[in-house]
Amino acid sequence: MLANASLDPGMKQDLVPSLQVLLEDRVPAVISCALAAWEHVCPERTDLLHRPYRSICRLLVEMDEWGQLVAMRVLTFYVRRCFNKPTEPESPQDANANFYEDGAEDTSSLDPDLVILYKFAMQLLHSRSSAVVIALVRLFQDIAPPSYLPRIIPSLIRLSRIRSQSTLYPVLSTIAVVASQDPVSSSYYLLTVDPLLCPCQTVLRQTHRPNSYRPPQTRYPRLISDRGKSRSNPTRIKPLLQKRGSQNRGRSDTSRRQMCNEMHDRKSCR
Amino acid sequence: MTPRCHPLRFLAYPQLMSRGTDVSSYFTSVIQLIASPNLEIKKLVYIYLLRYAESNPDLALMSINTIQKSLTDKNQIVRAMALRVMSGIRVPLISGLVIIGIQRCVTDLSFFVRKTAAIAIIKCYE
Repeated sequence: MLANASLDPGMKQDLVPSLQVLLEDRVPAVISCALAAWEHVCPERTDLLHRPYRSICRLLVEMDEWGQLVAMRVLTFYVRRCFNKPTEPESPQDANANFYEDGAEDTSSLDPDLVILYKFAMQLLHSRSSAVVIALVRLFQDIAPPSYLPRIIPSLIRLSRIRSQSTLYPVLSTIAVVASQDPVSSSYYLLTVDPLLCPCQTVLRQTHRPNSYRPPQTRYPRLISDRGKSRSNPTRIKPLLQKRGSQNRGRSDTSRRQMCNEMHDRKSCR
Repeated sequence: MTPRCHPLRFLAYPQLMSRGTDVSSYFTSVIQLIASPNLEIKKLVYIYLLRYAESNPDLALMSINTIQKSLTDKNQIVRAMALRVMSGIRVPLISGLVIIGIQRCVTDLSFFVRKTAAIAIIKCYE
Protein backbone atom coordinates (compact mmCIF):
# COMPACT_ATOMS: atom_id res chain seq x y z
CA MET A 1 0.00 0.00 0.00
CA LEU A 2 2.81 2.41 0.94
CA ALA A 3 4.66 1.60 -2.28
CA ASN A 4 1.48 2.22 -4.21
CA ALA A 5 1.11 5.61 -2.56
CA SER A 6 4.51 6.68 -3.84
CA LEU A 7 3.59 5.61 -7.34
CA ASP A 8 0.33 7.53 -7.29
CA PRO A 9 1.30 10.64 -9.32
CA GLY A 10 2.81 8.61 -12.15
CA MET A 11 0.01 6.10 -11.98
CA LYS A 12 -2.56 8.86 -12.28
CA GLN A 13 -1.08 10.03 -15.57
CA ASP A 14 -1.36 6.52 -16.93
CA LEU A 15 -4.86 5.92 -15.65
CA VAL A 16 -6.50 9.17 -16.74
CA PRO A 17 -6.42 8.47 -20.51
CA SER A 18 -8.10 5.10 -19.90
CA LEU A 19 -10.66 6.86 -17.73
CA GLN A 20 -11.32 9.32 -20.50
CA VAL A 21 -12.09 6.49 -22.91
CA LEU A 22 -14.44 4.89 -20.39
CA LEU A 23 -16.30 8.14 -19.72
CA GLU A 24 -17.29 8.35 -23.36
CA ASP A 25 -18.79 4.91 -23.37
CA ARG A 26 -22.46 4.47 -24.16
CA VAL A 27 -23.30 1.59 -21.85
CA PRO A 28 -24.90 2.85 -18.60
CA ALA A 29 -23.19 0.28 -16.38
CA VAL A 30 -19.78 1.29 -17.68
CA ILE A 31 -20.47 5.00 -17.36
CA SER A 32 -21.63 4.76 -13.76
CA CYS A 33 -18.42 2.90 -12.81
CA ALA A 34 -16.35 5.36 -14.80
CA LEU A 35 -17.97 8.29 -12.98
CA ALA A 36 -17.22 6.65 -9.64
CA ALA A 37 -13.61 6.23 -10.78
CA TRP A 38 -13.49 9.87 -11.91
CA GLU A 39 -14.76 11.01 -8.53
CA HIS A 40 -12.15 8.91 -6.79
CA VAL A 41 -9.10 9.49 -8.95
CA CYS A 42 -9.30 12.93 -10.54
CA PRO A 43 -12.21 15.07 -9.36
CA GLU A 44 -10.33 18.20 -10.42
CA ARG A 45 -10.51 17.18 -14.10
CA THR A 46 -13.89 18.62 -14.97
CA ASP A 47 -12.66 18.99 -18.54
CA LEU A 48 -13.07 15.22 -18.94
CA LEU A 49 -16.80 15.61 -18.44
CA HIS A 50 -17.43 18.29 -21.06
CA ARG A 51 -17.91 15.88 -23.93
CA PRO A 52 -19.91 13.11 -22.25
CA TYR A 53 -22.16 15.50 -20.29
CA ARG A 54 -25.24 15.11 -22.46
CA SER A 55 -24.91 11.36 -22.84
CA ILE A 56 -24.57 11.02 -19.06
CA CYS A 57 -27.80 13.01 -18.62
CA ARG A 58 -29.58 10.82 -21.15
CA LEU A 59 -28.34 7.57 -19.64
CA LEU A 60 -29.29 8.64 -16.12
CA VAL A 61 -32.57 6.78 -16.34
CA GLU A 62 -31.03 3.58 -17.64
CA MET A 63 -28.39 3.22 -14.96
CA ASP A 64 -28.90 1.08 -11.92
CA GLU A 65 -29.84 2.85 -8.69
CA TRP A 66 -26.37 3.12 -7.24
CA GLY A 67 -25.05 4.35 -10.54
CA GLN A 68 -27.72 7.03 -10.56
CA LEU A 69 -26.58 8.20 -7.13
CA VAL A 70 -22.99 8.49 -8.26
CA ALA A 71 -23.97 10.19 -11.49
CA MET A 72 -26.14 12.78 -9.73
CA ARG A 73 -23.38 13.57 -7.29
CA VAL A 74 -20.85 13.99 -10.08
CA LEU A 75 -23.23 16.05 -12.21
CA THR A 76 -23.98 18.38 -9.28
CA PHE A 77 -20.28 18.88 -8.76
CA TYR A 78 -19.73 19.51 -12.46
CA VAL A 79 -22.63 21.92 -12.83
CA ARG A 80 -21.60 23.93 -9.79
CA ARG A 81 -18.16 24.30 -11.29
CA CYS A 82 -18.92 24.92 -14.93
CA PHE A 83 -22.33 26.61 -15.22
CA ASN A 84 -23.64 30.01 -14.26
CA LYS A 85 -26.28 30.19 -11.61
CA PRO A 86 -29.66 29.68 -13.28
CA THR A 87 -32.17 32.52 -13.00
CA GLU A 88 -35.79 32.54 -13.93
CA PRO A 89 -38.03 35.33 -15.26
CA GLU A 90 -39.04 37.68 -12.47
CA SER A 91 -42.75 36.99 -12.60
CA PRO A 92 -45.09 34.98 -14.80
CA GLN A 93 -46.91 38.18 -15.80
CA ASP A 94 -43.75 39.62 -17.25
CA ALA A 95 -43.15 36.50 -19.24
CA ASN A 96 -46.70 36.51 -20.64
CA ALA A 97 -46.82 40.23 -21.36
CA ASN A 98 -44.19 39.95 -24.03
CA PHE A 99 -45.79 36.97 -25.64
CA TYR A 100 -47.41 38.79 -28.50
CA GLU A 101 -44.63 41.26 -29.08
CA ASP A 102 -42.16 40.59 -31.81
CA GLY A 103 -38.55 40.29 -30.95
CA ALA A 104 -39.24 39.84 -27.26
CA GLU A 105 -36.20 38.74 -25.31
CA ASP A 106 -36.29 35.65 -23.23
CA THR A 107 -35.66 36.93 -19.73
CA SER A 108 -34.76 33.54 -18.30
CA SER A 109 -31.15 32.64 -18.57
CA LEU A 110 -31.52 28.91 -18.21
CA ASP A 111 -28.77 27.17 -20.07
CA PRO A 112 -30.21 24.56 -22.49
CA ASP A 113 -27.77 21.95 -21.14
CA LEU A 114 -29.10 22.59 -17.66
CA VAL A 115 -32.64 22.18 -18.91
CA ILE A 116 -31.65 18.82 -20.39
CA LEU A 117 -30.34 17.75 -17.00
CA TYR A 118 -33.52 18.86 -15.23
CA LYS A 119 -35.68 17.08 -17.77
CA PHE A 120 -33.88 13.75 -17.51
CA ALA A 121 -33.47 13.97 -13.76
CA MET A 122 -37.22 14.45 -13.34
CA GLN A 123 -37.71 11.04 -14.88
CA LEU A 124 -36.07 9.57 -11.79
CA LEU A 125 -38.80 10.92 -9.57
CA HIS A 126 -40.71 7.67 -9.65
CA SER A 127 -37.73 5.57 -8.69
CA ARG A 128 -38.26 2.74 -6.23
CA SER A 129 -35.16 3.70 -4.35
CA SER A 130 -35.58 6.35 -1.68
CA ALA A 131 -31.89 7.16 -1.89
CA VAL A 132 -32.36 8.24 -5.50
CA VAL A 133 -35.29 10.52 -4.64
CA ILE A 134 -33.40 12.14 -1.78
CA ALA A 135 -30.37 12.60 -4.04
CA LEU A 136 -32.70 14.16 -6.60
CA VAL A 137 -34.00 16.63 -4.04
CA ARG A 138 -30.44 17.52 -3.14
CA LEU A 139 -29.57 17.95 -6.81
CA PHE A 140 -32.50 20.27 -7.45
CA GLN A 141 -31.80 22.26 -4.33
CA ASP A 142 -28.19 22.73 -5.30
CA ILE A 143 -28.37 23.50 -8.97
CA ALA A 144 -31.93 24.31 -9.99
CA PRO A 145 -33.92 27.52 -9.60
CA PRO A 146 -36.50 27.37 -6.78
CA SER A 147 -39.43 26.89 -9.13
CA TYR A 148 -38.42 23.29 -9.78
CA LEU A 149 -38.72 22.21 -6.18
CA PRO A 150 -42.55 21.98 -5.98
CA ARG A 151 -42.45 19.27 -8.62
CA ILE A 152 -40.09 17.18 -6.51
CA ILE A 153 -41.75 17.51 -3.14
CA PRO A 154 -44.70 15.14 -3.76
CA SER A 155 -42.27 12.28 -4.39
CA LEU A 156 -40.47 13.12 -1.18
CA ILE A 157 -43.76 13.02 0.68
CA ARG A 158 -44.50 9.66 -0.89
CA LEU A 159 -41.32 8.34 0.73
CA SER A 160 -42.48 9.43 4.14
CA ARG A 161 -45.12 6.71 3.99
CA ILE A 162 -42.47 4.01 4.16
CA ARG A 163 -42.57 2.64 7.66
CA SER A 164 -38.93 1.70 7.87
CA GLN A 165 -36.79 3.43 10.47
CA SER A 166 -33.75 3.49 8.26
CA THR A 167 -35.46 5.37 5.44
CA LEU A 168 -37.66 7.60 7.59
CA TYR A 169 -34.89 9.56 9.24
CA PRO A 170 -33.13 10.80 6.09
CA VAL A 171 -36.48 11.41 4.41
CA LEU A 172 -37.75 13.51 7.29
CA SER A 173 -34.48 15.41 7.54
CA THR A 174 -34.72 16.22 3.86
CA ILE A 175 -38.33 17.32 4.23
CA ALA A 176 -37.30 19.55 7.10
CA VAL A 177 -34.50 21.13 5.08
CA VAL A 178 -36.78 21.71 2.10
CA ALA A 179 -39.55 23.12 4.27
CA SER A 180 -37.18 25.47 6.05
CA GLN A 181 -35.91 26.86 2.78
CA ASP A 182 -39.22 27.17 1.03
CA PRO A 183 -42.09 27.18 3.54
CA VAL A 184 -44.63 28.81 1.22
CA SER A 185 -44.83 26.24 -1.53
CA SER A 186 -43.99 23.25 0.62
CA SER A 187 -46.83 23.97 3.04
CA TYR A 188 -49.35 22.86 0.42
CA TYR A 189 -47.73 19.48 0.21
CA LEU A 190 -46.94 19.03 3.86
CA LEU A 191 -50.65 18.56 4.47
CA THR A 192 -50.38 15.16 2.86
CA VAL A 193 -47.56 14.11 5.16
CA ASP A 194 -48.74 11.55 7.66
CA PRO A 195 -49.04 13.96 10.55
CA LEU A 196 -48.75 11.42 13.30
CA LEU A 197 -45.11 10.92 12.60
CA CYS A 198 -43.90 12.55 15.77
CA PRO A 199 -40.30 12.86 14.65
CA CYS A 200 -41.57 14.65 11.58
CA GLN A 201 -43.49 17.10 13.70
CA THR A 202 -40.56 17.67 16.00
CA VAL A 203 -38.18 18.25 13.15
CA LEU A 204 -40.59 20.54 11.33
CA ARG A 205 -41.34 22.43 14.49
CA GLN A 206 -37.67 23.05 15.01
CA THR A 207 -37.15 24.41 11.57
CA HIS A 208 -40.32 26.45 11.26
CA ARG A 209 -40.78 29.91 12.63
CA PRO A 210 -43.64 30.25 15.14
CA ASN A 211 -46.05 32.08 12.87
CA SER A 212 -45.56 29.84 9.88
CA TYR A 213 -47.48 26.75 8.91
CA ARG A 214 -47.84 23.89 11.35
CA PRO A 215 -49.25 20.55 10.24
CA PRO A 216 -52.55 19.57 11.82
CA GLN A 217 -52.45 16.78 14.38
CA THR A 218 -54.63 13.81 13.70
CA ARG A 219 -54.72 10.29 15.04
CA TYR A 220 -53.05 7.46 13.23
CA PRO A 221 -56.08 5.14 13.42
CA ARG A 222 -58.03 7.74 11.52
CA LEU A 223 -55.57 7.48 8.70
CA ILE A 224 -56.11 3.73 8.49
CA SER A 225 -59.86 4.26 8.09
CA ASP A 226 -59.15 7.10 5.75
CA ARG A 227 -57.14 5.00 3.42
CA GLY A 228 -59.86 4.57 0.86
CA LYS A 229 -60.34 8.28 0.42
CA SER A 230 -58.28 10.26 -1.96
CA ARG A 231 -55.45 12.04 -0.20
CA SER A 232 -54.77 14.44 -2.98
CA ASN A 233 -58.29 15.82 -3.20
CA PRO A 234 -57.70 19.45 -4.04
CA THR A 235 -60.82 20.65 -2.22
CA ARG A 236 -59.40 19.35 1.04
CA ILE A 237 -56.15 21.18 0.68
CA LYS A 238 -56.71 24.81 1.50
CA PRO A 239 -54.15 27.49 1.91
CA LEU A 240 -53.66 27.81 5.63
CA LEU A 241 -51.17 30.59 5.71
CA GLN A 242 -53.67 33.27 6.59
CA LYS A 243 -54.96 31.22 9.51
CA ARG A 244 -53.02 30.44 12.62
CA GLY A 245 -52.53 27.59 15.02
CA SER A 246 -55.67 25.95 16.37
CA GLN A 247 -57.91 27.65 13.84
CA ASN A 248 -56.40 25.44 11.19
CA ARG A 249 -57.64 22.28 12.72
CA GLY A 250 -60.84 20.63 11.72
CA ARG A 251 -62.62 23.42 9.90
CA SER A 252 -63.42 21.24 6.96
CA ASP A 253 -63.80 17.94 8.73
CA THR A 254 -65.66 17.38 11.98
CA SER A 255 -64.09 14.02 12.72
CA ARG A 256 -60.70 15.56 12.34
CA ARG A 257 -61.68 18.28 14.80
CA GLN A 258 -62.80 15.74 17.36
CA MET A 259 -59.61 13.80 16.99
CA CYS A 260 -57.56 16.95 17.23
CA ASN A 261 -59.25 17.89 20.45
CA GLU A 262 -58.47 14.49 21.87
CA MET A 263 -54.89 14.81 20.80
CA HIS A 264 -54.71 18.26 22.26
CA ASP A 265 -56.01 16.90 25.57
CA ARG A 266 -53.54 14.11 25.68
CA LYS A 267 -50.67 16.47 24.95
CA SER A 268 -48.70 13.83 23.16
CA CYS A 269 -45.71 14.32 20.92
CA ARG A 270 -44.36 17.16 22.93
CA MET B 1 -6.59 -33.35 1.30
CA THR B 2 -5.14 -31.71 -1.76
CA PRO B 3 -7.37 -30.09 -4.28
CA ARG B 4 -5.82 -32.18 -7.02
CA CYS B 5 -7.56 -35.32 -5.78
CA HIS B 6 -10.98 -34.22 -6.80
CA PRO B 7 -12.06 -30.81 -8.01
CA LEU B 8 -15.21 -30.92 -5.90
CA ARG B 9 -13.22 -31.36 -2.70
CA PHE B 10 -11.57 -28.10 -3.49
CA LEU B 11 -14.88 -26.44 -2.78
CA ALA B 12 -14.25 -27.04 0.93
CA TYR B 13 -11.50 -24.40 0.96
CA PRO B 14 -13.67 -21.34 0.55
CA GLN B 15 -15.99 -22.69 3.22
CA LEU B 16 -13.04 -22.91 5.59
CA MET B 17 -11.83 -19.49 4.50
CA SER B 18 -15.15 -17.87 5.11
CA ARG B 19 -15.15 -19.26 8.61
CA GLY B 20 -11.75 -17.72 9.22
CA THR B 21 -9.74 -20.92 9.30
CA ASP B 22 -6.21 -20.41 8.11
CA VAL B 23 -5.72 -22.39 4.91
CA SER B 24 -2.58 -20.62 3.74
CA SER B 25 -0.54 -23.82 4.05
CA TYR B 26 -2.30 -25.14 0.98
CA PHE B 27 -1.19 -22.21 -1.11
CA THR B 28 1.01 -24.11 -3.58
CA SER B 29 -1.54 -26.80 -4.27
CA VAL B 30 -4.30 -24.28 -4.75
CA ILE B 31 -2.27 -22.14 -7.11
CA GLN B 32 -1.53 -25.15 -9.28
CA LEU B 33 -5.20 -25.22 -10.14
CA ILE B 34 -5.18 -21.74 -11.56
CA ALA B 35 -4.79 -23.06 -15.09
CA SER B 36 -7.92 -25.14 -14.79
CA PRO B 37 -10.41 -24.65 -17.63
CA ASN B 38 -13.31 -24.98 -15.21
CA LEU B 39 -14.82 -21.55 -14.48
CA GLU B 40 -15.92 -22.36 -10.94
CA ILE B 41 -12.51 -23.63 -9.89
CA LYS B 42 -10.88 -20.58 -11.45
CA LYS B 43 -13.17 -18.32 -9.48
CA LEU B 44 -12.41 -20.13 -6.23
CA VAL B 45 -8.66 -19.97 -6.86
CA TYR B 46 -8.98 -16.24 -7.49
CA ILE B 47 -10.86 -15.79 -4.23
CA TYR B 48 -8.08 -17.66 -2.46
CA LEU B 49 -5.44 -15.54 -4.19
CA LEU B 50 -7.12 -12.31 -3.22
CA ARG B 51 -7.14 -13.41 0.39
CA TYR B 52 -3.57 -14.70 0.74
CA ALA B 53 -1.52 -12.92 -1.92
CA GLU B 54 -0.35 -10.14 0.36
CA SER B 55 1.16 -12.56 2.84
CA ASN B 56 2.81 -14.71 0.12
CA PRO B 57 3.83 -12.21 -2.58
CA ASP B 58 6.49 -14.41 -4.17
CA LEU B 59 4.16 -17.32 -4.67
CA ALA B 60 1.44 -15.01 -5.92
CA LEU B 61 3.78 -13.69 -8.57
CA MET B 62 4.13 -17.19 -9.95
CA SER B 63 0.50 -17.13 -10.95
CA ILE B 64 0.58 -13.71 -12.60
CA ASN B 65 1.66 -15.24 -15.89
CA THR B 66 -1.40 -17.45 -16.09
CA ILE B 67 -3.67 -14.59 -15.10
CA GLN B 68 -2.22 -12.41 -17.83
CA LYS B 69 -2.89 -15.17 -20.34
CA SER B 70 -6.50 -15.29 -19.16
CA LEU B 71 -6.83 -11.61 -20.00
CA THR B 72 -6.99 -12.60 -23.65
CA ASP B 73 -9.44 -15.45 -23.18
CA LYS B 74 -12.48 -15.78 -25.47
CA ASN B 75 -14.91 -15.74 -22.56
CA GLN B 76 -15.70 -12.23 -21.30
CA ILE B 77 -16.25 -13.49 -17.75
CA VAL B 78 -12.78 -15.04 -17.63
CA ARG B 79 -11.24 -11.78 -18.87
CA ALA B 80 -13.14 -9.74 -16.33
CA MET B 81 -12.25 -12.09 -13.48
CA ALA B 82 -8.59 -12.01 -14.45
CA LEU B 83 -8.53 -8.21 -14.48
CA ARG B 84 -10.37 -8.13 -11.19
CA VAL B 85 -7.91 -10.41 -9.43
CA MET B 86 -4.93 -8.63 -10.92
CA SER B 87 -6.10 -5.28 -9.65
CA GLY B 88 -7.02 -6.83 -6.30
CA ILE B 89 -3.63 -8.35 -5.58
CA ARG B 90 -1.79 -5.81 -3.49
CA VAL B 91 1.74 -6.49 -4.72
CA PRO B 92 3.46 -3.27 -5.84
CA LEU B 93 5.64 -5.06 -8.40
CA ILE B 94 2.73 -5.84 -10.69
CA SER B 95 1.21 -2.36 -10.73
CA GLY B 96 2.71 -1.72 -14.15
CA LEU B 97 1.17 -4.92 -15.48
CA VAL B 98 -2.17 -3.94 -14.05
CA ILE B 99 -2.09 -0.57 -15.80
CA ILE B 100 -1.26 -2.24 -19.08
CA GLY B 101 -4.11 -4.67 -18.51
CA ILE B 102 -6.52 -1.81 -17.79
CA GLN B 103 -5.44 0.05 -20.92
CA ARG B 104 -6.08 -3.05 -22.95
CA CYS B 105 -9.45 -3.72 -21.38
CA VAL B 106 -10.98 -0.25 -21.74
CA THR B 107 -11.32 -0.88 -25.45
CA ASP B 108 -12.67 -4.38 -25.00
CA LEU B 109 -15.79 -5.31 -26.93
CA SER B 110 -17.61 -6.59 -23.88
CA PHE B 111 -19.26 -4.07 -21.57
CA PHE B 112 -18.62 -6.35 -18.59
CA VAL B 113 -14.87 -6.18 -19.08
CA ARG B 114 -14.98 -2.39 -19.52
CA LYS B 115 -16.98 -2.06 -16.33
CA THR B 116 -14.42 -4.19 -14.49
CA ALA B 117 -11.68 -1.98 -15.92
CA ALA B 118 -13.38 1.11 -14.46
CA ILE B 119 -13.51 -0.51 -11.03
CA ALA B 120 -9.93 -1.68 -11.44
CA ILE B 121 -8.89 1.93 -11.94
CA ILE B 122 -10.25 2.77 -8.50
CA LYS B 123 -8.55 -0.23 -6.92
CA CYS B 124 -5.30 0.53 -8.67
CA TYR B 125 -5.26 4.11 -7.50
CA GLU B 126 -5.70 3.22 -3.86
